[in-house]
Amino acid sequence: MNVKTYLFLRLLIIISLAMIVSNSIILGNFFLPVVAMIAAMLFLWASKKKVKAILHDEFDYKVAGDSARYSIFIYTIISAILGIYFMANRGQNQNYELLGSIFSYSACFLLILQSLIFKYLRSKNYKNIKNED
Amino acid sequence: MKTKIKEYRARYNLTQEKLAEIVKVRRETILFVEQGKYVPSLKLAYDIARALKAKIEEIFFFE
Repeated sequence: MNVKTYLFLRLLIIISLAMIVSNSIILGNFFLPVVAMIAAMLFLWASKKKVKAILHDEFDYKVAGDSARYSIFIYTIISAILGIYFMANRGQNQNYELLGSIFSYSACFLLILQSLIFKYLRSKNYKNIKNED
Repeated sequence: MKTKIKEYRARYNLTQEKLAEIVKVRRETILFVEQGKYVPSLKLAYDIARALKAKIEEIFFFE
């Protein structure tokens, strides 16, 4: 399978999945989208294995790392500002306190998760380097 | 960073696509390295140099 066929297939699956999920929400069926998502993931994983061309390389990994860092930074800043805003104005609406907590805790959770994964990957790489020595 | 990838490719009549295939990266990566917009890893630099039958220091220059 070449890259163009794989990309076309991926687009087709994403469109189909979006249609299934939106229809399932309308119909109130929550089992079908889960099954469809798992099937789509498995199908994409299997078809990706059949692609002989290079789909990702070190440049993509570098860009992915940079984009993840920027995404975390932007999300954390926006969540913190929204969290503070909703907490400060909790007297205006009873739902603001909940919203503020959700934004603040989600930012904290993301930062904790990021630092845990960072520590894990760093120690893993450090162990690999030590084993190579 | 400056490179002489283009000159060496022309010498061996290699397209960006063919070089990318040899060193197992995407064509866009070769393009970015060639333009000096991306500094490759030592492994990729070594693979490129080997594919172009040259030493790393003959292909890549830091200013």
